[in-house]
Amino acid sequence: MKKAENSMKLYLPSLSINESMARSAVSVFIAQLNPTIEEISDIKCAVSEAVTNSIVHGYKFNPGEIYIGVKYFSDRTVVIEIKDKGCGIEDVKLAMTPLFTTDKTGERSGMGFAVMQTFMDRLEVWSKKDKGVRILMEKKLK
Amino acid sequence: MSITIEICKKKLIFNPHFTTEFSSSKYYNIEKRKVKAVFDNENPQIAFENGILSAKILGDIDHHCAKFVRERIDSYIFEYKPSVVLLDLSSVDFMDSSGLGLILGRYNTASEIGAEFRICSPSSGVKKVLELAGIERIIKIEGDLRV
Repeated sequence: MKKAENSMKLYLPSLSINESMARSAVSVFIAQLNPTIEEISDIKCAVSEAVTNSIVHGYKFNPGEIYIGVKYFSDRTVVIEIKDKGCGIEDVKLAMTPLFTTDKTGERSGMGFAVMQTFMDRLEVWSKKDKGVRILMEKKLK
Repeated sequence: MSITIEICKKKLIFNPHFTTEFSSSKYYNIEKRKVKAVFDNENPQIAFENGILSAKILGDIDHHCAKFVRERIDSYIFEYKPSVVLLDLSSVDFMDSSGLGLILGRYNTASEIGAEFRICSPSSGVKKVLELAGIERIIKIEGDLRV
């Protein structure tokens, strides 16, 4: 197991106002690697999607805690881990299908996982019903 | 206080030459109709002239702020029944998939009253999200419409 060069941990209450806080904090942390503007906006977008998912679908707007962990390695790989203890996903594969959404009334586009998959190099999702969700995203910066 | 704001909003909408120190003005060129839009100071900034309702969104579009933007634009669409709804994204630096929901939702609202819906001036980051969802297949995306 490689040792991370630097790491950050962030615990946030599941309030929608914290979505911008989460993505800004991650982008400031990875700014140490001097990434391109495109790389920053890709990562911000992916983090925003994951945190929004936790708030809207995981906790269904109930109070809860979201964990965001960011690490980077000497080869400029950024690893982001986002965890919640919400209601979990029954069928991860179905949830990751583009345009699939369980929220029919709130104008959700169903593109959250598709955005994460496209903007990051690797995306892994672990979840069990009522056990929360753990998302691991990886992107190698140029 | 709330009454004053309400009066101010109406003045801005009906009299495009009414300006305050907060409002900004901008010319749009839509199908040879040159439209001067004078915006009020709330997000999104709304202006209505010549049958065109322009909404200029300020700052990031995420799930949190999409709610307010959605309600404000919809209330103006139903109030003024425009023939064109123009969503100006020139001041939006960041947008996630909530923005896609917002855009498609406004497209539906505009279609409901028979109005045309357009997006203009997306930044490169916003464009990437729009392209990912294939928005350009159903909604016309314009470059810079400012004159």
